[in-house]
This record gives sequence, structure tokens and C-alpha cells, in this order.
Amino acid sequence: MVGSPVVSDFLRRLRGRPALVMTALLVLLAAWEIGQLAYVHAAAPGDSDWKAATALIRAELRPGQDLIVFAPDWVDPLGRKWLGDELTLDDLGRMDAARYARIWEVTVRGAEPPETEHLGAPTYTVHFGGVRVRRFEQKPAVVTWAPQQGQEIQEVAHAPRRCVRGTGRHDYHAVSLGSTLQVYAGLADVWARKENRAFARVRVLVDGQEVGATSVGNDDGWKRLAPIATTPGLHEVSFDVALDPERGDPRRARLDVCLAAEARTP
Amino acid sequence: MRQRMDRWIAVAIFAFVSLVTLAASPLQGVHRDEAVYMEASERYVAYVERLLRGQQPHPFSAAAVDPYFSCGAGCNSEHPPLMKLLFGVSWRLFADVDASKQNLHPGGFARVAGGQRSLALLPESTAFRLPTILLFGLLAALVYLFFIDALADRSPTDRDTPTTAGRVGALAAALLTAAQPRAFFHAQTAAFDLPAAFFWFVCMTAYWRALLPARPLRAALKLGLLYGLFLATKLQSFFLPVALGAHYVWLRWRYARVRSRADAGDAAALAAVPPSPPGPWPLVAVALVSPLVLFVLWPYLWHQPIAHFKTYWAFHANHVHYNFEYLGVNYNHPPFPWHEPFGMLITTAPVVLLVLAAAGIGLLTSDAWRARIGPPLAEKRSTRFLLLVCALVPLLPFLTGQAPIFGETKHWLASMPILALCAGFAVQALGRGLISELALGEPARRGLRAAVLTGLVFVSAAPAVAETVRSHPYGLSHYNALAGGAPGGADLGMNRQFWGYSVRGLLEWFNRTLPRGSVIYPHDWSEGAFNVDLRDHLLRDDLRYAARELPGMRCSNVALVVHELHFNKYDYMIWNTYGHAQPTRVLTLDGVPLVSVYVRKDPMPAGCGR
Repeated sequence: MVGSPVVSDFLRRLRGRPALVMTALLVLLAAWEIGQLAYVHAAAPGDSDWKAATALIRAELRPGQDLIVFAPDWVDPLGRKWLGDELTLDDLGRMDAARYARIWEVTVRGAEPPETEHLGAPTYTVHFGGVRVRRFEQKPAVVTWAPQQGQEIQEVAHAPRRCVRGTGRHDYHAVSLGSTLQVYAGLADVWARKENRAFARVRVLVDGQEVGATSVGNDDGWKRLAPIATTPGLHEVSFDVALDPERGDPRRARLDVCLAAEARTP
Repeated sequence: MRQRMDRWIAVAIFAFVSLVTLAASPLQGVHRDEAVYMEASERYVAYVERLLRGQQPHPFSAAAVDPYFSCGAGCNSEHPPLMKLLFGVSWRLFADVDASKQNLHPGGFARVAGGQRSLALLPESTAFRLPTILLFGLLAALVYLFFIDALADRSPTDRDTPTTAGRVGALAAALLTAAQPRAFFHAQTAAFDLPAAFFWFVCMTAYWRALLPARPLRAALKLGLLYGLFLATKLQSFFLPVALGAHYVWLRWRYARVRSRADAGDAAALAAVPPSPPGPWPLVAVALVSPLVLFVLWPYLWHQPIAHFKTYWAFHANHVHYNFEYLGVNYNHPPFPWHEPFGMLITTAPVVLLVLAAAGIGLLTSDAWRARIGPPLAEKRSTRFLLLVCALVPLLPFLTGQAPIFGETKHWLASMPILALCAGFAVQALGRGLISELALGEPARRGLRAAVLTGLVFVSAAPAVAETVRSHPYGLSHYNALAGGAPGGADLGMNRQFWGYSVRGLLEWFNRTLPRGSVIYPHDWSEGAFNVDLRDHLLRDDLRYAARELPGMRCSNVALVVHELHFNKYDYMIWNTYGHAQPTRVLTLDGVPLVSVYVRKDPMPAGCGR
């Protein structure tokens, strides 16, 4: 086509006519810009897309075993508008998604949430207009203990977390541990982080022995500690949370430490 | 240099842009700061009215002035008064004020109290906004005229007449000034950001005119008066002398260089050197006249002027750092990324404006091109350098990463008309080229020439108009086609909005749906904006405004979250309080959530007064 006489003739005519070429490019740019805006508007999922996705999930959802996640993060309010009644506050403030057998991923614009990115291929995928529904399955962890149960949901790294709050020592007696203790920690409250320039040191103790530790600051988000191998049975568990004197500016500390843990049997 | 035709075109641009903006304004919500300025405006105009009616026994005394201009938050003495005075006058003349809603006005200042009448032509919020709207129209018209004077090609037979291509470039520049989503948003507010951009441009052009005037002192005095009005508008005015000063130093340096070459016998330099260096009068007027204008216009400075000026300055020097999401990170304290102004520019301005402006900058700075087309008419005044410094200086504070107020495009809105001028320069070059290449200069092809050049203006402005139309009335949430629109902006992790104005899009739903006497936890929707919506009959009278933060949330049965990254916390507070996480309604722009509305499912706790 490029070498055809018609095209060659056309290109020869354009040569020496820079204004005409530039105007043609401007017309293309204008068409692209207007077309792109129209496409973005048309591609936004409508109520019918969300309704269809919702109907599918509701029909197959197994309450207590299934988790619904939305991506990208910014679409979360819309997802909760349609499916929020299928999510408990425990689901929303979860430490992570290890305890769920099935994860329903509801996304727009091809986003992939962190909860499913390591799970391999979905068991199925369905598109409803701009909404994609995928289901993933995994072997759920059995949780034998979680100290954050019943606590209020806090904001850590702009995401919801149920957690135990505050500096000092948090002691738990006769805790039923499984084979792993998984701990997360972060700094809650965007206003506190705005003023804070310090770090918190978090130590995990089982039967008085330190088994894990980390330091968390404003930019650490929801920090996952390395899984701690534990002996199943009843134990004393403590979390020791204090100002980290070696990092940041301890004089400008406003630490609202938020931590969560799950004793698990994989 | 201007023809009568150009003046008429400028008038038409002013009328068109003003009317379109006026028509669009009622759909855009009142933002948090606007509500504060509206309240102050009522106070200011009450003072002026009592002064004019002779109702103030000692009108210039502290006792007479302070209740209106120095009374804490309600007087808004952290910002200069000019626009608030104009908002107040416009409101007093044109607002349709409901006498039954006296209690929603700042205490004792509702003009309807004494049976005084206005023309009742506009809703109150629109009447407050009218001065900004008119300045926006005026800005577009002045961009057209400045282009004609400074950048337009001239007819070879009559140096006073711009060519058709010149007019096409000027028209494109004017349209691209108005068709910018963020500028269009700010043009519909009773706030100072668009007026600051207007005065920046007006002062720049007045300075430019003062450099080669027939009567230099008169021109300088005019600049001093205009800059005084700018000082009385917003703090950005303090940066303008930096730009003008840099340009003046450049002019002196350039003069000294040519003079020395002329003295050395360079014939070309001898022919080009002006008889004297540019006079300092424009800058002298800026230094001496304008502070007087500020003082006269601002009664807050009439008593304890130094202490009050220090208070004004300190408010901004120590301004709180706002939260602002940029590329997925919530920034609320320094250091901020230096490139944020550029990141916001390339994701919010119409792409066609960016491309044409880049081409125009290339043409304006290319020596080769200049040699080909001849220097612009106004080159003796180093117009290009003036445009460069005046476009860059508004951005400079934000490139340091330490500016107290970090974030949106509004603080360097003054750069945008200059970008539009550059874009117009590129359109002019295209028009000139098309006329030449298609042989449209022949009289017999006049019709075809008109059609081609009209089409050129259309393709130059239509995408920008489409971006602006698409953004309305949520201009602060709009991202351009390059970013992928609002969803693309959200994917990039760009600021969703601020000022809580987008709740306006829910008012009809509130009126239709909420039970009588509902108490609304407002989140970022200010009480002042809520009251203005009540006064404008946009909201049912029985709806109530809850207190702020957790106490208000607990004693509400409807709760809002205006979505910005750092406001996610309020979602979770509502979940804890209401016991569920399912919004009843989510206001969106192209699928991107702007505001969530939660409805309480159980009764309000005991102790919450109704």
C-alpha cells in the first residue's frame, strides 16, 4: 500500500507543504483527543454492568469462606455500593486474605489486586461490560487466634485495618497458637503521620522469648513481618511497642501504632 | 496598531466567554473557601453601603472598620479585599435574596433586613461569582488583543493591520485561554485564583506597553494602579516584580551590549541601538504607587498597618501544608516532588493546547524561523523574554519542593494564558503556511480561505472545548485525554478533588430521597456552602448539618465522604459508627467515585438532639 502509485503521488504532493502536513497532524490530534474523551466516558461501567456482576457473585457466594476484593483501589466505594452487604467489617479490615478459601476479584480497567496476584490462574473469568469478575481458590489458613478481633477499624496507609493500637506492652495469656504466627504492623491515622517523624519498634515475644521484630515509620505502610514458626498449643504472647530511638527524629514522635496478628495452622 | 475590527472581536470574545461561564456556573458546587469569601463579601459591602449612606458616624475609625474587616475568620483578613468587595457589590446589586432565610447570613449583614431591594437577577452564589466570571471573559479578550499587538503578523502593505493569519492565531489563543478545564472551574468561583491570573496578565501587558509609550509617566502610573489592584487581590502579586525586574535587567543588559558594539563602530549595532536605555518608570510605579492602592482599598490596614500586614504575611509564610495525592503518594509535608507542577500541567491541560504551545515556543525561540519571518513587531521590548519569565515565575516556588501550599494548578494559573499565546503563535504560522501553500491569498479564493482558516481555528480549539465540557461541573477531578480522563488520573494516583464542592451533584438526590429532618454528616462539605445552598433553594430546609468529625458522625443519619486519598480514614470512621460499609449512593465522574453517601440503618444513639 505504502509503495502504491496513489500514495507515492500523495506524499510527493505533500512534500514542500509543511503547513498542510502539520495541519493534517493537528486534525488527527484533535480527532484523537475528542475520541479518547468519548471512549473514556463510554467505557466507564454502567449500573447494568455492576448489577450483572453482583447477581453472579451473590448467586455463588459462600458467606464466611469467600472474600470479595475490588481493584483498582479507587473503585472500592462503587464495589461496596453494589456488594457491600456481602462484606463484613472483619472482611474489610482483614490483616490479609490467607484465611479465605475463595476470592472474588471484581475489577475495572484490567486492574489486579495484591490479594490475587500470587494465586495463579483464576477458576473462571467473566466480563460484564467494563467490569471483570474472576474467582480464585486457595487452601485457606485456619486461624486459631487473632488479638484484633472486636477492635475498631483504623486507617493504615489509606487502607482499612482492624488492629490493636498503641505503644506499650500488649500481653495475651493462654493463647492457642498453631504452627505459624503472622504479624503485621503500621502507623495509623493520616493526621498523626503528618506530624510524626519517628519510628516505632515492634517486638513479638512468645513465652517471654523475642521471636520477631521490626521498625515501622510513616512510609512503611502495612508491614508484614516474616512468618514466625510456633509450636501448637497454649502460650503467652506479647507485643512490645516502643519508640525506636535509632531511627527518624524521636523528638517529633506521634506514633499511632496499629498491629494485627493471626495464629495459623496452614 | 489595533483595528476597530479587532476591538469588536475582543468584545465578542468577552461576551461569549462570560455568558457561557455564567450559564455553566449554577451547576458547579460552592467550595469551602468560596463560602468563607462570600461571608466576608457580605460584611465588606455592608461597610461600603453604610459608608455611602452616611450611616457610619466615624467611618474610618477602628471601631467602625474592625467589625467588617478585622473580626477573625468571618472577615477573612488573611486575603486582600478587592475581589471580596466586588463579590459583595455584585451580590448586593444582582442577588435574588430570600428574606425568610436571614438566619443563614453572617450576623446582621443580610441586606434584605431593612427591606432594601436588589435587582434579583441571579441566584446568590452566581451573583457572588459574577465578577470572576467577567474577569475570565475579559482575560480571553485581552489575550486576543495582546496577541494582535505583540505577536500577530502584519500586512506587508500596512504595518498597522494584522494579517488574517494573525487574527486566526489571536482568536485561537483567546479560545485556548478559556477552554481549559481547570481555568474554567476557577472562573466559576467567588475566589481569587482566576482573578490573580487575570491581573498577572493585565500587569504584564501594561508593563509591556509602558516600555515604549508616547507618555511614559502616564503609562507607568497606569501600571502602578493595576499592580495595586493585583496586590489587593491575592498574594501571588508579590512574585510579579520578580518577573518584571528580571525582564528589565535583561533589557538594560541588552542595551548595554548593543551600545558597546555601536561605540566600537559596529554599523549594524549603531543602526539598532535606541537613543537611551529603557526608563525605570514602570518599576518605580510598581514600587511606589501600588502599595498606596492596596492601603486605600484595604481598611484592615488603616489601623496598625505594619502589624496587620505582618499578620497577613505570616499567615501565608507559615501556611499549613495540605494533603495532595500525586502519582499515588499522599504528600502533606516537604519535601514535595519538584516536578509536580509539570506533572499536573501535562495531565490536566488540553493536549491540543500543550502540543500547539510547544510548537509555538519552538517557533518563538528558533532563530532560523525568526530570520525567515522577520522579528515580531514588538521585539524591541524583548517580548519573548517577557513571556518566558512571566510564564515561569508563577511555577518557580513550586519547583523548590518546599512551598507552603503545594498542589493544584490554581497557584500558577497565570502561566496558562501565556501558553495559550504560544499556541496561538503556532496556529498563526499554520494559517500563514496554508494561505501560501494553497494559494489562498488570491482574491478569487477568499471564500475558500475563510473556510480553511475557520476550520483551522475549529480543530485548534475543539478538543480543548471538548475537554472543558467533559470536565464540567467537576473540573478539579478532570484529567486530560493524555492521562486517560478521570479514570486515567485515578489510575495514575492523581489528586481526585478538593474543597468539597462536588457534593452539589447530590443535592437533587438528597431532596428527593432523604427522610424529613435528616441530619447529614457533611465531611468536607462546609457549613457555609451548605447554607448558601439552602439560601439558593438547592436544598430542602428541613435537612440539618451535623457537627464535624466523630461527634457529628455519631449524631447523624446520613454521612458523606468526599473522596481524596487522605480522606479514606473517614470511610472507616463511618463504618465503625454506622456498623456497615455499604454506601447508598456514589457520585461518579466517568466511573470514578467523587462522593459516597452512607445512610444509617439503626436509630441514632440516645443523647443526640434533633
